[in-house]
Amino acid sequence: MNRNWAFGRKIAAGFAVSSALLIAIGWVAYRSLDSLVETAASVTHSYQVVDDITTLLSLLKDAETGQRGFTITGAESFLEPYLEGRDAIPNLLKALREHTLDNPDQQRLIDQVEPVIAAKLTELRRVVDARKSEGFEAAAKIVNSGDGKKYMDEIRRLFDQMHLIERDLLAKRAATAQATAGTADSTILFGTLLCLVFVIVAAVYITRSLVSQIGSAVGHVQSSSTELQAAATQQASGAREQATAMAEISTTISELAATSRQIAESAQRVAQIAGQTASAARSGDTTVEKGQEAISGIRRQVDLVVKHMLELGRKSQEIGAVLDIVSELAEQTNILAINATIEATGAGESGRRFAVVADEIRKLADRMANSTKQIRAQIDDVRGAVNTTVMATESGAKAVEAGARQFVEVAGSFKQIAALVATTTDAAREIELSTKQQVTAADQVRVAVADVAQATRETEASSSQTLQTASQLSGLSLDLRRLIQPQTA
Amino acid sequence: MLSDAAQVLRREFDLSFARAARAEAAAMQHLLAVRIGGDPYAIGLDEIAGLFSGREIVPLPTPLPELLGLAGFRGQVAPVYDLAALLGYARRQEPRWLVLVRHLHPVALAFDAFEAQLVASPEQIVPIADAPRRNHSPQTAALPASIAHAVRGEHGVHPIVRLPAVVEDIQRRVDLARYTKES
Repeated sequence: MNRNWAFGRKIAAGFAVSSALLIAIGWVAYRSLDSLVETAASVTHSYQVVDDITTLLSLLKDAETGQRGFTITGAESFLEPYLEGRDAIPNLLKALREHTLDNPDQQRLIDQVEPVIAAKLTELRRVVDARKSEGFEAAAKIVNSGDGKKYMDEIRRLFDQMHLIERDLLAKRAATAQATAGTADSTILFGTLLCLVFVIVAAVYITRSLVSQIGSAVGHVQSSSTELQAAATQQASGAREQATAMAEISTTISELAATSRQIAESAQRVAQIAGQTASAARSGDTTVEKGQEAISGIRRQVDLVVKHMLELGRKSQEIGAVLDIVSELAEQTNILAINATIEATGAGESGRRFAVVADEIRKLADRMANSTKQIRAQIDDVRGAVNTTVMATESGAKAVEAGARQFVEVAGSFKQIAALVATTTDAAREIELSTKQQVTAADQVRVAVADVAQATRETEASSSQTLQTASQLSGLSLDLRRLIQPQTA
Repeated sequence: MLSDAAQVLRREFDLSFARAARAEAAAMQHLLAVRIGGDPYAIGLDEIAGLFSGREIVPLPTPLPELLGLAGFRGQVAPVYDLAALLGYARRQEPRWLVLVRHLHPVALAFDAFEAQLVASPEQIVPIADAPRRNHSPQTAALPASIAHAVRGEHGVHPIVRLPAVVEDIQRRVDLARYTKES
């Protein structure tokens, strides 16, 4: 039997084995009784056959006796046994044949005796008929012939054989019944003993197993109840801490509700300020538009400046062209003066004064050339300055364009700011609304926290009760251990 | 209305006629500061018959590479030679300036640029051996016979090209070309 089996299973297994043994013993007993009953029925049957044979022989004797009485006396009253026997013998013979259907030897003997009985009855009827019709002598004559006796002897011999057969059968069936009864007795005795031994062994085993497992379980229950006690203690402590925490949470939620109210008020103020900001942004948008117009004016002025500067550059170029002519004239004057000097040198004393004039003209031409160079340099400077101014002005124009673009962006930004401020206003209102809802929710949470605190107190009480129950359980398990293991008490 | 500078110029111009002619002025030598082959040179004013610029030069078929062509000067036609080529420079640009050499035969010399007229005292004229040679190009390291002196002025040292010697050089080249052609 497996050690890990549950008690119910072990007990069921024990009962099952015991029941199987009982069933086996009962079956053997039933079979033995059945065999005994069958044997008894066979014995009864044999006795019935013996009785039939005896009765049949008796009826034949009665019929012969009645026939003899009637033959001797001639009185009809003596015929009564004969008549009864004559009428009953065929039925009885038929019954005998039916009773021995399972025995071929008896059937064969009945087949042999039946004609002999018929012949005997015929002989008896001839005697009676002869007595009635012909008188005593005729009847005595038939009797004296010895046929009747011969028939009776034959009948007795055959009946004796049948008797012997039935007696043998009776002896055999008695022996069989005896053997069956002995087997049944042995089976019942030994089976009962075996069953008893098994029940005792199973009881001992199950009891020991029960004690062991229940003891172990009780030990577990005891340790579990101890742990449960500790857990209940801890739970009670935790519940107390939770109650404290719930009180703190309740306080915090109250503060949160107060803060939410302040936030709602702040959000309301933010919405007001956002509205003011929106109006300021619209005002800024107008200012930006004016600024855009001013920038457009600056742009036009810058274009005009650029145009004038380009005109100045062109004029400077024209001055340069005129200066080229002047420079060439100076050069030609210089050449003329030199040539005049050469000619004056060739003219001797008279040309000396002229040479002086020519030299002065040359000097003048030289200075004119130098002045022309200076003017050219100055014009180049002017043109450079004009180019620089144009470039600077163009850069300024580009800067103005960039400024204009930035103004456009600023205007866009102002519009965006206005839109964002509108969004902010909506958001602030939503925050205000949400915060009011939050206050309501915080109140609800506070109520819920109060409920939880109440539940926590109930949990604490429940934990105390659990602790008490665990203590009781520990005591009960100790009692149970004492019950199953008194020596441990 | 004249500016201050113009008034100064006019005053100096007028004063120059009021001043008496100085005796030392006769000893002064007039020179033309020119630029030949990128280097500064000087030409004596007394060796030329005229200074010209931008005259049209008609090219001629000639074996002399220094002969640029013919040009007209005051009703006479003169052959124009490249002074830079004669001094040993490689021609870099068409010369714009011309001087008509004071000579028996009309000969004109072309050069790159005219810079100014120089008036030099005798002390300023120094032999070329004594003059700093920094302005001389490598081609003129071996000085031709036409250059023997230099003038030292405000604008640096200008070797003086003696035009009669240049004309003699031209004559020798022409003779050599003619001899080469005839032989």
